[in-house]
Amino acid sequence: MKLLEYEAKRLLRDYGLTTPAGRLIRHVEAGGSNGLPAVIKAQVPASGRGKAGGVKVATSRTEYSEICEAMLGTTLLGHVTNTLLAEELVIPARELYLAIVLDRAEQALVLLAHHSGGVEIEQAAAVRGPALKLALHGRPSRQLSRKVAEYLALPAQLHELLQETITNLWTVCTKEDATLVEINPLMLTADGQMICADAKIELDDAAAFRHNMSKFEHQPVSAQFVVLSPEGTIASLANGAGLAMATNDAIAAAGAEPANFFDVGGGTNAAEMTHGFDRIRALPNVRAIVVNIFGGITRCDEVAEAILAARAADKATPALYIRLAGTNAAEGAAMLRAAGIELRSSLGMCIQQALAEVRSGV
Amino acid sequence: MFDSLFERPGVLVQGITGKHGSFHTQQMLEAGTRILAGVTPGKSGMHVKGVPVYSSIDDARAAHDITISVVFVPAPFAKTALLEAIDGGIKLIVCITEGIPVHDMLEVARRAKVAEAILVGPNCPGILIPGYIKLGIIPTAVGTPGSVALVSRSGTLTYEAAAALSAAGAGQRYIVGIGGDRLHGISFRDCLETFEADTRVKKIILIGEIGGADEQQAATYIKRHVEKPVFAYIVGQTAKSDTQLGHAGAILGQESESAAAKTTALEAAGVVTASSLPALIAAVLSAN
Repeated sequence: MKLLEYEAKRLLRDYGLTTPAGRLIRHVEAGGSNGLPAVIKAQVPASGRGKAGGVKVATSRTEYSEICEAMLGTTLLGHVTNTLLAEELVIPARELYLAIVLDRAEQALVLLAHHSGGVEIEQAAAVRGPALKLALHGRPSRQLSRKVAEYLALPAQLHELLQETITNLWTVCTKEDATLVEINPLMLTADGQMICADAKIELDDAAAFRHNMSKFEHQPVSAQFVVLSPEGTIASLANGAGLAMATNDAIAAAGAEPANFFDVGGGTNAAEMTHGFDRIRALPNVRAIVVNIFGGITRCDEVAEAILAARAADKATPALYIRLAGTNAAEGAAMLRAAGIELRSSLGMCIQQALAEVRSGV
Repeated sequence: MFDSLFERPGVLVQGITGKHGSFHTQQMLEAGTRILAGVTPGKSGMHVKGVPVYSSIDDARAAHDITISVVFVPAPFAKTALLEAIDGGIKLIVCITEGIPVHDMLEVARRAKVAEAILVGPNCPGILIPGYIKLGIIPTAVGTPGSVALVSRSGTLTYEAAAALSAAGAGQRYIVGIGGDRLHGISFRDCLETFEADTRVKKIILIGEIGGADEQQAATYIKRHVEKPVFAYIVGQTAKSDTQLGHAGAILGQESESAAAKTTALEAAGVVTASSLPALIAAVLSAN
C-alpha cells in the first residue's frame, strides 16, 4: 500500500528524521501571514504531481486560499484530492536522492543514492550518471555510510548526520514493514540540515496484521478482484491467480476487452463470490461473465453452489458462460443444469459464445 | 538440488494439526510420501492421520530420521516455524503458507542460504513426482509418471497443465510450483539446472507471470546451459502498470516485467513460447 506524502512524513518524524514544518488542509482557508511563502501539495498516492499541477507555491494569503480552493476535491492522476499539505518553503544548498527498497532479485533491501535529487531516479541515472546501489544485510554499518558520503561528495562535518539519516531510514523500513522508503529530494541546507522534502513509503500489505492501519487515509485493497477496464465487455473469474490471468489473456486474444481480474481462491465462499458478482454487476458495459474453474483441491460442486448463491440475489446478472473441469465437475454441472445454466466444454467455447452475446447486444 | 528427494526421505509436517495441514497430510500419505512426524507447538502426544505430533522439530528429529519439512503454519507464525526448520538442520523446506510478510522472508532467505537449506515457496503448491512423492498440495490425480518437467509460479494453472498433459499421455517427471510471492526460495533457474541434469527428463515446461525478473534470469540460463527443449507461457498479458493481480509477486512495475518482454527474452534463448495454455500443451505434444 502506498502512503500519502504527509503520512509518510509523519512516520519519518516518528523515527527521528527531519521534514519541513507543515500543516494539513481539508477545507478552504486563508493562510496565516507567518506561514508564507508556502508550498501547497495535493495528497494523492501517485508520482508526477508537480507536472500535473498538484504542487504550487503561495506567496500571499490570497494566493494561498485560491490554490487551496482550486486543488481540494479535484481529481489528480486518477485520485480525488481530499487533503493538502502546506509546508514552509525550504531553500536547499543541494538536492540528493536516498532510498531503501526491496530488491527481489537480490533478495535483500538495497540502499540507493544519487547526487542529483529532485527528478525520478531512472531519469537522474540516465542523464547524470549511475546511482549508487548497496545491499543492506542488517543494520547499515559506518563503513556503508562512509561509502555513500564519498559518492555524494559530502563534507566531513555531514558524515555523522548522513550515518544517522541512513540508520533512521532503515529503521522505518524494517519496523514499519515497508518495501520502499524513498526521499527525493533530500535537501541539504546552508546551515547543515538534512530535510526530507518529499517522501514515498510503500507498506507490505501482508504485514498489515501487526500494524495499526486505521491511522492511514486509505486501506490496503484486495488484490483478488481488480478492475482492468471500466469499459470492458466481458467479465471473468477463475480459481487461482495464474488461471485468472490466463483466462483474461484468452479473452483479450479473442478480441474482447477483459473488464476485470477475479481470483476466487478456493471458490467456495458464497459471501466472497457474491461480493465479486456485485462488483461485476457494477461495471456498466459487461454483457457476459466467463467462469473458468479447475477443481484440484477445490470441488466443482461447491463452486457451483457459491455461483448459484451469488447469482440468485434478485439482481440482473450478465449471462454466464461456465467451464468446469476436475474434481466433482459432473456434480457441479448437474447442479448448474438444474438451475438452467448449460456448461461449455472448454474455455475457448465460453469465450466464443460470450463474444457472440456481446456483439448481439450492439 | 533435489538430492534429498531421492534418498527415501523422512518427511515432517509443520502445522499438521490445522485444517489444511491435516487434510493434506492424508493426501500426501496416499501419494506415497513417508511422513514420519508432525510438529505443532503444545500438541505433542497427539496423532494426525496416524502420524505422531511433537511440540518441536528437535523432539521430532530425536525420534525420527527427517530431512524434509512441509510447512502449513499460518502466516503470522511462519517465520518462527521456518527458522526452526533451518536451525533444526532440515535440508529441504517446502512452504505452502500464503501471506507471509516480506521482511520475515528476507530473514528466512538469508538464514536458509547460510545453512544451505533449500527452500521451496512460500505461497506455493509444492512438488509432485507422480508415482513417487508429493510434498505440498498439488492434486495427486493430475499427474502421471513420465518425462516432462513442469515448473510454474502458479497453482491451479499448473494443475490444469499437468492434467492436460496426463490426458494426452505425456507423463511428468516433476511438477514444481515455486510460488507467487515477491521473495521466494528456489527459482526457475534452480529448477532448470535440476531438469537438465536428470536424464529422465526429456522436455521442460516453464509457466511464468508478470512481475520480477525470474523469467529473464531463466532465459539467460537456458541460453548457456540447457540443451533439452523448453516450452514457456507467461500469463498476465492484460495486466495494468502498478496493479497487483492476486499473487503478491504479480505486479507490473518496469516494462521488463511485462508478459511481452519476458516472452521475447525466452524466445531469444531458443524457447518455444505460447500465448495460451492449450497452445502450450499442443506445442509440447507435437514436439519430438
